[in-house]
Amino acid sequence: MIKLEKITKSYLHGFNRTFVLRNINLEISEGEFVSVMGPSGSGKSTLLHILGMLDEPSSGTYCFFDKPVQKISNRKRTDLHREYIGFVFQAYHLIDDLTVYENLETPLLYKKIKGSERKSMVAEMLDRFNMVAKRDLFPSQLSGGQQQLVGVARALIMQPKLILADEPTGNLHTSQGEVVMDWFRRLNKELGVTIIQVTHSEHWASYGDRIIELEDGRVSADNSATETVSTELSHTESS
Amino acid sequence: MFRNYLLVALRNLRSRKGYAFINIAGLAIGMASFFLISLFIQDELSYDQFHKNSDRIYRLALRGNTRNGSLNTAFSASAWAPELEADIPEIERAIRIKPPNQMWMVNYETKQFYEKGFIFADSTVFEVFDFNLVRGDPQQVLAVPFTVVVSENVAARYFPGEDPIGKTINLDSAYDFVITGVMEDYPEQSHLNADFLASMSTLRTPIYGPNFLEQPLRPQVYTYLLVSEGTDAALLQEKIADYFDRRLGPLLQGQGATMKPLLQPLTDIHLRSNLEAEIQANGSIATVMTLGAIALFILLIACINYMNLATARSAGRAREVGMRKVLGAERGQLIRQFMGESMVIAGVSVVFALLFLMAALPTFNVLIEKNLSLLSAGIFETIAVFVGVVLVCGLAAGSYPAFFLSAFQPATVLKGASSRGTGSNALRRGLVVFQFTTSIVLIAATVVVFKQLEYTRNKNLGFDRENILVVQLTDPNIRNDYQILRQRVEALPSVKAVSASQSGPGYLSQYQMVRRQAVAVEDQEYDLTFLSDFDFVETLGIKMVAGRSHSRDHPADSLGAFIISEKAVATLGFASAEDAINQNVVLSGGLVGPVIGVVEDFHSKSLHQRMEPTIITVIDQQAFFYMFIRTEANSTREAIADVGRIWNDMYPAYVYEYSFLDEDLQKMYAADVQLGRLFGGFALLTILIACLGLFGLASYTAEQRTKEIGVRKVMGASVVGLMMMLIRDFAVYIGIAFAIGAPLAYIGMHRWLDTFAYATSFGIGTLLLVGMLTLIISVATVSYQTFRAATANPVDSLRQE
Ligand SMILES: Nc1ncnc2c1ncn2[C@@H]1O[C@H](COP(=O)(O)OP(=O)(O)O)[C@@H](O)[C@H]1O
Ligand SMILES: [Mg+2]
Repeated sequence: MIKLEKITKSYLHGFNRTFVLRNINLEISEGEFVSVMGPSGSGKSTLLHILGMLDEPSSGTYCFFDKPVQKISNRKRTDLHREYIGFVFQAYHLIDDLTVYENLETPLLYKKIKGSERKSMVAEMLDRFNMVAKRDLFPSQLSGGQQQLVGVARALIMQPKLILADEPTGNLHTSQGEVVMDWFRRLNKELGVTIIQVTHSEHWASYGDRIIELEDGRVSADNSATETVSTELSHTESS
Repeated sequence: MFRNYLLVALRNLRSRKGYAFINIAGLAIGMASFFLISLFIQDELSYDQFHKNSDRIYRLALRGNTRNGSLNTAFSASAWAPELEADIPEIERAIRIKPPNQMWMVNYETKQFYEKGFIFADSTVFEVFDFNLVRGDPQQVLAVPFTVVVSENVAARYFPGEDPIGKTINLDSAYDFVITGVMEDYPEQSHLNADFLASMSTLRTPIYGPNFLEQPLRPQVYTYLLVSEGTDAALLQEKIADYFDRRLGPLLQGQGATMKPLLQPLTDIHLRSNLEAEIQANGSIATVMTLGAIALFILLIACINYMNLATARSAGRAREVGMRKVLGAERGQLIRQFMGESMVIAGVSVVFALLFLMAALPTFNVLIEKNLSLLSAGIFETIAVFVGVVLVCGLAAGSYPAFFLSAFQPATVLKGASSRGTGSNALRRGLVVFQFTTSIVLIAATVVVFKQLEYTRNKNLGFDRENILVVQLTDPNIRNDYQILRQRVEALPSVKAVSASQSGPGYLSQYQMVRRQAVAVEDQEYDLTFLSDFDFVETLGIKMVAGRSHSRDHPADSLGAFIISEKAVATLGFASAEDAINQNVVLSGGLVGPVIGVVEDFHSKSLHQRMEPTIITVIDQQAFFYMFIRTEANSTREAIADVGRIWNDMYPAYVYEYSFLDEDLQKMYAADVQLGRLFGGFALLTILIACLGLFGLASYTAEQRTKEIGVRKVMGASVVGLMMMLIRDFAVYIGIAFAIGAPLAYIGMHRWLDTFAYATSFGIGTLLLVGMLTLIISVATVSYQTFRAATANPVDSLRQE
């Protein structure tokens, strides 16, 4: 699904070029649940933005479903967002002036989905996330955890094949975070949605089945080891 | 999708009320000003357009020279029209109009009104102008002398509920007219207004003098030509010039004068003609253009507020833009969203603009002395203008923020919770500078206009304009008893001196051909003349330079004895004032007599015009229209009452009316006063809108810099120091605006002052004052916000992070 070859990202700071990502090679297949970890400033968000085509690498190639992203036109790229990719952010990034219902509806509007179908899709999401009662509330009237659930629901409504989540639980209490992570796991296991999340915490990372560690813009570890699976399972049972 | 945009737009307005208020108030005021001015301009441009043949009608005016200077008059001579119609094939009709010199008194039974719209016209006037007859046959109504067509309004005034046809009205207690027709009231948007249309053939009777209709040289009627379709006006003017050469050439020979025709399209008269003897005070295309520019600028300034505030608070919207892009929005869709928002604002604003407009229209009408209504331009045109303004404002105000906001890259704006919306600072500064430049120019213009008006009030006119009571002698019955009236008024203790004249400073002016007896007839000149009673010089307080004034002790003085002004000394060719004394001069009627005195030049017209050579002579007739009464300085009130008592005793049938010379003189500046008020009013609105915008910007700046201010305070900055820091930015804008606006105002207003022959001066001092005023206003505007920011507890602002 995703293949990065020799990806670098750098910024000019005055006369100095600072590298945020250096020579990243990475392959992620459909159905994986990947956690990206690393110290602050190591380039995790940048990597996620490049994967989500919100940002462009300075050099290297990025193939999405075997197609090199650089060669995709802007319009096509927008279509890819609409079709395949959902985003979840640490700061939720809901639209403040829209209600829960309208926030969920927005991506459908951009995809020009018809009214009746749109209604049923939103209704289903509200139902699934147990938010029917909150449909007419504004983001400011919700708790952080609830807002993030709306964020997740909004990312899911398009039934994306790939969810990119940048510290989705970073602003949440543990119990709220768990609800979100449980959702990710269910999506991954039941629907085969590919998930790439950035997290600082071993605990949240362990929900995934592969951990990529970034350090100073380089991949310093990539353990898709299956040995983590057992601990993860035991963890689930205990919780 | 659209609903989604609309919801965001409306909720945005609701949740940010201050922002919404500033935008909507600014735009609404801007739009209302625009609509007001549009109504004014539409009205001005519509003058004389209502005639079916308006594009084929020309007025024949006159250019040329007399010995005394140039001739530029709207008048033409009465003999020309019939001859031109017969001579030149492309002239289908040539008609003459003779409006009254003054108000006529019109009587019907017990009803009596003073009328200024009693006009004589050729019987074929209906073929040229659209005077629509409600009663009567256009071929017949003015066919014979002493017939008159009245307007419906007049009919209702004199003959309520009666049939006016066949009734006889009396003019000036002397002439009877039979009513033969009734016409629709004439539209106000005309350079000519007629309530009564009397037959031109009546003037064979010498109401206006003998042979009035056969004058080949004396310009005293207005001539209009209806030309055939496709006539080249320039060519026609040539042909008329040829006719002039043939017909007038021999007559003018030896008179030292030339006459050339000037054809004016009917529809140009109101805005583009400024000749002598215009039928009414015309408008001015320069005023129309200036106001048009002001209208556009005010609207633009209001749009700029929107642009500035929308981009200033872009930080708040950037996240939404980023998120929408992540959710699959294309840039085009976002542009449409933000355009839609500005359209919503414009749409809401126009509703308030309409309310402002309706509230302001009565005052505006008083200001411009018109009678405009919201729909005077027609309902569809009005709606079209409203919709057009909403669209244009929406687009103009929305385009920049739309392109600016929609360009945000999601990766950048979503990375951190805060991002700065600073990219547009340079442009924003430019826009604020533009707003204040316009404000400064308008304020300066207002100040200069009022300065000039003050100057006209204080300028030494060569006579003492204060404490002079003017009583107009409107009726022959009154004029006949003038000498008795004068003697009784003169005897009053509250009165210092009394005189009277056929004309007067600030009122009508009269001219006579004059020459030294020693020179040939062709050397005569056309001089301003006051045919007056004794004591004219003393009553007005004109200063003698040489010789003596008229005196009742010299009985010959009323048979031709002249006082001339210093300018006349020069133009008539006397070596000096003393030299002129006792030399004979000749007036056009053949009156011969000596110069008995010379006076200092004095202003008898507005300061727009140069002083002219002037002659004062005493006539022994009961033909004075204006009585001048100089009161004792502190007894003005007493004098008014005393004169009134005498008047009521002598003329119980006539209402006692008086005015003051100094006030009447100021009426000559009505157009200038109007301009000053318009400038002032719109300057006020402009600076109000600009300050609204500034207030908004200041709040955002303060908000953006809260943290910086907090840190500075923790490090020991004082409130005053912080305020200075925040205000400095805005002061710099005003400084730049001043640097641009001051020269513009300087040049523009000196051009306006050039329309005066005598003008005040202004320089850097005045402009600096305007700059200071603007600075004070704008600093006051921003200081509330900055004070709040500077006095906020730093702990609060820093904790938020
Ligand atoms: N637009 C930018 N210009 C310059 N440097 C940037 C920009 N965006 C990010 N960086 C730098 O890139 C580095 C990595 O940032 P990021 O990917 O956000 O790190 P992480 O998410 O791992 O904390 C940081 O040092 C940051 O300063
Ligand atoms: Mg990050």
